[in-house]
Amino acid sequence: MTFKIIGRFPERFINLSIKNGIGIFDAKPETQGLFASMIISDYKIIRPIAKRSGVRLKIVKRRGLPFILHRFRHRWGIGLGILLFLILSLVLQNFVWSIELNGVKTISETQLIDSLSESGFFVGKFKGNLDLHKIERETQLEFSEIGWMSINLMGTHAEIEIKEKALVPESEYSDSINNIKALRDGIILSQNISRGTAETSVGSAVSEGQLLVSGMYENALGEVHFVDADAEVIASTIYEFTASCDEARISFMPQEKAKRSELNLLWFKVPLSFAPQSSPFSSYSETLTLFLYDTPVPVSLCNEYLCSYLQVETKINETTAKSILDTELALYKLFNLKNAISITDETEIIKTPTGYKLNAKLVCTEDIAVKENLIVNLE
Amino acid sequence: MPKENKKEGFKFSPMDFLSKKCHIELDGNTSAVLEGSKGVLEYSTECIRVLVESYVVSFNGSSLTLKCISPTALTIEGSILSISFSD
Repeated sequence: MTFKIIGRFPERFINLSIKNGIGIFDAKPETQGLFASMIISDYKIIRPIAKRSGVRLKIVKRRGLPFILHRFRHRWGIGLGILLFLILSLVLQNFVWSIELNGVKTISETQLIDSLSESGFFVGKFKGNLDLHKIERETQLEFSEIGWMSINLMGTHAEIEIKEKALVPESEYSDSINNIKALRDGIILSQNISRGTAETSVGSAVSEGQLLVSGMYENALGEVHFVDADAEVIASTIYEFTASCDEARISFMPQEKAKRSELNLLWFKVPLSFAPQSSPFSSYSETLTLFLYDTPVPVSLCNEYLCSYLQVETKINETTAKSILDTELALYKLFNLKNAISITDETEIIKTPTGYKLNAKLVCTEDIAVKENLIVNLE
Repeated sequence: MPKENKKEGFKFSPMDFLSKKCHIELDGNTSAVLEGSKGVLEYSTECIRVLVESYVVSFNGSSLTLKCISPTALTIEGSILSISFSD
């Protein structure tokens, strides 16, 4: 507390106080007297000294914890709140409240988090009975891509350091002996043989499974050698694709959208808003985690967006049917003819009693060479 | 006859800090630490007079304040212009 010393000899008061073991600090002379500060317990015992010094004391400013506590002495709720806060802080520091993954490149983080959760390591887990080595071992056994892994606990934050294995590149040469066979029927347009003996020539028609390049060759001396045959055999192939589309078509039209929010606080999930769930529906969710100075805290808001669909039956015309069937053909090419180049498409759409039908004939060029292991008993 | 100190080069002893002798340490002209104080005789922003042993040390200047006071030492801060000694 800060007080003012009024009298003729404030220096005498200071000397007497110091001699009696009373600490005085921030003593500042002013025109009307001397200002000084001391702790509240000392102030209670300086009255006799002031009397002996012939000075009067006047309190100017009261500050510090004792005065704050005195001001709030009837508001027991504040004290209870502080006590609860301290208890909560002491209890909550024994749990894992945030997990950070470092060094993950090819492994799915979601799968990794799920795996850790199954091993008993998740947000909200009690730190006391954690066997980190066991969790690390189990995770490494589940994910063969992990070369090294370490779980570091820093307070309530867990940092998982992962080093993925460096994959050994496939060698061009192998110890195995292979033939090259035709993947499907076709007419050979060109062949580029790196190793092995050609069994067919350009322009010849081959059927699926036919030997194209042999892994066995005979040198000029008549010695037989076995190699891992390697070749690129480009052939013209034909694909037939059929798709149909009903005239009466059932489609799902998106209807109203709704949002459902949930507050995740520690272990608890508190719904903030409700949305009716009608079938069929689609949904996606996003989680917004609260960060405090770049550190995630166990408070997050989860928003789920729901969209309901209405089943409607529509009758389609030929133009729409063509568009739908063309899309199906494009999808077929995209997923089934990834390595083929389509040269010509012969398509026709015919009307059937129930709808429309697409017949397509696709002439493609592609590499039809496929390796087949050749088992040789050299004994 | 008092015993002469043969170590002529020895001018400073840690015991000086424990003795009742006056010891003044200046930090430029902005701060001074005085040890061996027996009491403050006068305290104003222009002059601080302190009783030490059997004489009085006066610090003259402007904006002088007693930052820290203990039974035997005190710290003076401010712009010190002069230090004088008197009986």
